[in-house]
Amino acid sequence: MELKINQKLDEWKHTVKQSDLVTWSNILNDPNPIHLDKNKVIELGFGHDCINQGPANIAYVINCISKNFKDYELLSINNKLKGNVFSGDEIKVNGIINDIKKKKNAIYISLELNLKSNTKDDLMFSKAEIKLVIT
Amino acid sequence: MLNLNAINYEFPGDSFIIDKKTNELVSLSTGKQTSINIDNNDSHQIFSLIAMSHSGISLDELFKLLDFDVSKGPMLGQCDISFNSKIMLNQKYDVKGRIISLDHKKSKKIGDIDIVKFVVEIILEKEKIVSAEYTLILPC
Repeated sequence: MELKINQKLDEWKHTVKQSDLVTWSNILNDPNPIHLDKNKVIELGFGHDCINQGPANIAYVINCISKNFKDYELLSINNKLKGNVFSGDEIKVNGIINDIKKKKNAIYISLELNLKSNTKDDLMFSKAEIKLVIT
Repeated sequence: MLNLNAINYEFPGDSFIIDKKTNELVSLSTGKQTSINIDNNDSHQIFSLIAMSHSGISLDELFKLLDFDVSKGPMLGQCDISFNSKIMLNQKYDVKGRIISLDHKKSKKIGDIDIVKFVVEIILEKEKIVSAEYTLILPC
């Protein structure tokens, strides 16, 4: 497939389950109650349901890249988290190719990606650099 | 008021190995169900951040060190990750980290906040392969 600057990536979708938040709290050994106790989230005024872990949001963006590029190497990913993903949210990751550079036996691609949910756009903005090896 | 003496604190350090089962658990919990590649040893690259839990200090201990009450609901504000090579299965990685800075700001959304920045590095055979810089927002 020929890659072009400004080319849109295929959208990646996922529904966030509370059981996944429990898994991530265990994996990260994270005691933060906002991931496990929705009454605490309401009490703090942060929203209506348990808040997803930030690293899981970043994993969704990586999954979008993996869906679009089968054999790639992630070189960097910078993420600005602007809002919260909640348990039960349907999230989408959209992206675009920002730049393409060919050097020797590799193609270096710059990507811009956005995470949004069914209730809010612009939850996270990410910039990623990936490398494709030309065989 | 956070513990300003925590600036430049170096995490004790530890190590980790990603097995196939844990990699699949992480992949499934993020909705990556169909593209788990069973033909190679690539892990989900989000282990670049999971490495924090193998840095020798837990998040709970980190918040205690900072004199921050975790029940106030800390949140990840920014996270920049750079890779020198892929994170693989069945490979022993060392992890180290350090608190870079502590700041205080006023947020339009949630009022007074403290901001802590720290870096976590993954090391393979004395070579840094991943560096992740975290910015955590700590409501006052």
